[in-house]
Amino acid sequence: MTTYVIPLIIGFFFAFALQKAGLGHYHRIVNQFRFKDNTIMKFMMTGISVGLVGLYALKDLGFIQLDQMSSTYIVGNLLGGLLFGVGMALAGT
Amino acid sequence: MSFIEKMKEKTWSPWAAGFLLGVTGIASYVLVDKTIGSSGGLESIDSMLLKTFHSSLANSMYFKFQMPPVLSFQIILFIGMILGALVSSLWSRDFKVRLMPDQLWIQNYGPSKLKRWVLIFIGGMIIEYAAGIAGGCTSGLAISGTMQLSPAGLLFIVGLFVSGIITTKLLYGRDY
Repeated sequence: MTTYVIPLIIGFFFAFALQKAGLGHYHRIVNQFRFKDNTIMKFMMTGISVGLVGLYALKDLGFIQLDQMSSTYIVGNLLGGLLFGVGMALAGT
Repeated sequence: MSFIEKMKEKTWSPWAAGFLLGVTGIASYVLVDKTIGSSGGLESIDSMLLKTFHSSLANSMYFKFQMPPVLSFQIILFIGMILGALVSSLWSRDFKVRLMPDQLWIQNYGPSKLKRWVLIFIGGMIIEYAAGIAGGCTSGLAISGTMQLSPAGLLFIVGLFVSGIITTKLLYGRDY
């Protein structure tokens, strides 16, 4: 159940949200970089804000521990991000 | 507006879709204590393939311990993601087999299908390689990382936008 069913359901709603925001379209991604269509920024920032508030509220109430924190190594994250942007602008995905 | 009508809409307001994304992120943390990500799953699939074909790379430290060849959380997430996007697009009649993106690509690059497929292949390779360096992709690091206030996610977003804007500017030139 926890190993197979729950990831399936989470993935389902995750992709559902992405599709409904229109992230499957090339012009959405490129127009975000051209600042002609800010859908992606709105979508990502809303997602992050809702998640942030929810996660920290649950953490402070003691329901979860934030133990899956992505590790920070400044040069790697920044370099990876810089390279990632090139690929994203080329492929538009 | 009824539920059925809402589901038939091609796009929702980004705020609504973003809310759903946030809730999904929280649910994943609460239910299975994992964060949503997608690039890691591809590396697990790589690891499985290497093992199946008895490549010597399968014995490297990275594919043995960092990305072991098991049916990981993220691979099952992929199956769910395909189903989710399929249901969403079929329900709203947005589903279409596209060999080329609409309008914008043709305006800038011309109608060559080969060019599109070569560029998306190169772009995809760069994306996966960069995700390997950074330790996550847009979903795994930028969204799930920043959700936990990890500096890694913020750094990644900064890098992504700086180079994305510059690359688009170079590709689009005067039309930017």
